[in-house]
Amino acid sequence: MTALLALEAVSKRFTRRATVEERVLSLLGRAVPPRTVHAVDGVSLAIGEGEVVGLVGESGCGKSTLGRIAAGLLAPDEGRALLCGETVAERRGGRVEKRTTAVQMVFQDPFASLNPRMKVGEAIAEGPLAHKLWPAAERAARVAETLADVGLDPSYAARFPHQFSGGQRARIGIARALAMNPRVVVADEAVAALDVSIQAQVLNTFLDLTARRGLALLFISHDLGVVGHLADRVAIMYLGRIVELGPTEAVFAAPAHPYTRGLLEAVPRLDRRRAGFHPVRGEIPSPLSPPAGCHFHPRCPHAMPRCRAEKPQPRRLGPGREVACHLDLA
Amino acid sequence: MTETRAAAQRPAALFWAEFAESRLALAGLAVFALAVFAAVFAPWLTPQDPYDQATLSLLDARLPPGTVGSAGYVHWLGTDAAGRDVFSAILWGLRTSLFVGGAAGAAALALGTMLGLAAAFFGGRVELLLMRIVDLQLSFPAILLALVLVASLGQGLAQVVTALVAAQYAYFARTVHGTALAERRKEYIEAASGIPLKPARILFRHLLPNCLPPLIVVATVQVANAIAIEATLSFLGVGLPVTEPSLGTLIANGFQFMLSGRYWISVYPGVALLIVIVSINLVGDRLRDVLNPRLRR
Repeated sequence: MTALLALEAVSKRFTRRATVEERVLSLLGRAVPPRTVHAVDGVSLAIGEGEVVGLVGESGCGKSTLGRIAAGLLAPDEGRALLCGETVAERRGGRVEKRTTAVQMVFQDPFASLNPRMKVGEAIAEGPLAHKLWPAAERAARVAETLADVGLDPSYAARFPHQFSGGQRARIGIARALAMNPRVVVADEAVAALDVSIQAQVLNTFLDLTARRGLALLFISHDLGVVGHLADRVAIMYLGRIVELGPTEAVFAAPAHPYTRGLLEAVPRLDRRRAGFHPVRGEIPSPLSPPAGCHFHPRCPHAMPRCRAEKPQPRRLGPGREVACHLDLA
Repeated sequence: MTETRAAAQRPAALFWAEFAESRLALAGLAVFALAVFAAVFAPWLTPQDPYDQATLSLLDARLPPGTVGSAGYVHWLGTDAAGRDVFSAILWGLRTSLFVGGAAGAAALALGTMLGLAAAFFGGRVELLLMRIVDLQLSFPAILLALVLVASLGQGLAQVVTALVAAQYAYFARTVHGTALAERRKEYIEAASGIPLKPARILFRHLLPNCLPPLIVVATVQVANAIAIEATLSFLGVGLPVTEPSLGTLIANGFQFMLSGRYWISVYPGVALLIVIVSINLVGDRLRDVLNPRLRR
């Protein structure tokens, strides 16, 4: 399997501007609180043609930032994001310039991600027409076809986003991404904002479409249960690093990282209704000052002295399986 | 069901229905429309071309309102020192005032919007430079700036409009900048750059349309302000020349006769100016209420 989209040791840091108070303090030579967040810290991940990769983690673990790097909305500070060997996005004079249309993103918030003053048909046709993917004469027909694909009535093209429900808007967001005829789709919590009953419907439409077109999918979610159903491979992220990576069944059957174990135990299952509930203890630490060594050690039930000092490197467990842990749980 | 039907209406129809809920605003709009109509059709609505010196007779000078002049028609609002029919002069003056206000407002809108959008979109040094200039300018009263500019540019319609634009674009720039800063961080802008679309397209097709509501309100108020500033400049004698009088010139024209009891030469143009400015402001206030997102569902 050759990688279609490859993230090579990408890192992304966000630095907050110093407040006046902090500038005065640092001028006086006093210690100031850290202002840099390592949102993504040396992550490597490859996605093959037509493959569905699930990216799972708690909120604040950097999964959205990683998704934005993959989709070319952010340029990594270190490392490279490559699509078929070409850089996805470049920094140019302080702005990020995306170089390709072959990777598209579906956003989390179906309300904020659609321009409220643009008709749905216009929003869908804008990209393909700007990039000459559609002949201008076929515009109406192509918009109708795209809307029908996502299960919407073609007559909706003349309406504004505020006239739709959350589920319909999510479908519009999917239609906008698929209209660009991408090879990779990054879905950042694409259905998380919807009602549970609607989630399944929209998710099924989305997965059908990507599977039928053979698109690769990076599916970002905080819900390991959902990811378990649809992903070929799963990557578990904790505080900017990928801690475990592997084929979904293998990871679910024998999780090798204590964090993955904790997450799996938190997934509600019918056959375990009476079993005790042991979620991962504690809170995710502040990414402004992450713990030394293994980021997970303050919450890890198996933490050893080594974990506090040494950063665990990804270790191969089998074909396509990696874990970043000093323990040998598997 | 009613909710979906209401939502299915065109936004413009919805907007109008909400605007029309205020009788006062409707009255303001009607008065303003009447003023525009009267100004546009002044040559056909007035008994006299007040600036054609040949038709004026000094025998008619300073006639009180309601007097029949030598030309045989009633001067409903009296005549001025040169025997000019005040009613005719007001309609012609209104023409000039509205034109100056509209032209200056539109030009300031265009210039200020471009600068504010560019500052918000490009950020960094561009933003710093543009917005500091705007801040500096806003710290002076607009009338002072306009006065200095007109004094150095000289009299004339083009000069007055230029001075007004220079004095007022900053209000538009600041408004657009603030709105655009908030809109720029929204996900639909990110979605547009993720397609990817060209910056110019994102700027004009995505960012600008979403910055319009507060702009419309500011534009309305600034047109009224432009008319008022122009009237002030003309009253002070540095605005429009007597050959192209605006309402301000007319007020100045009759000011010296106020104390001799011939109030009408100044007061009626003043009342006309007041009515126009109040009507525009009524419309502007209502627009602000209707377009305020916090009041919308």
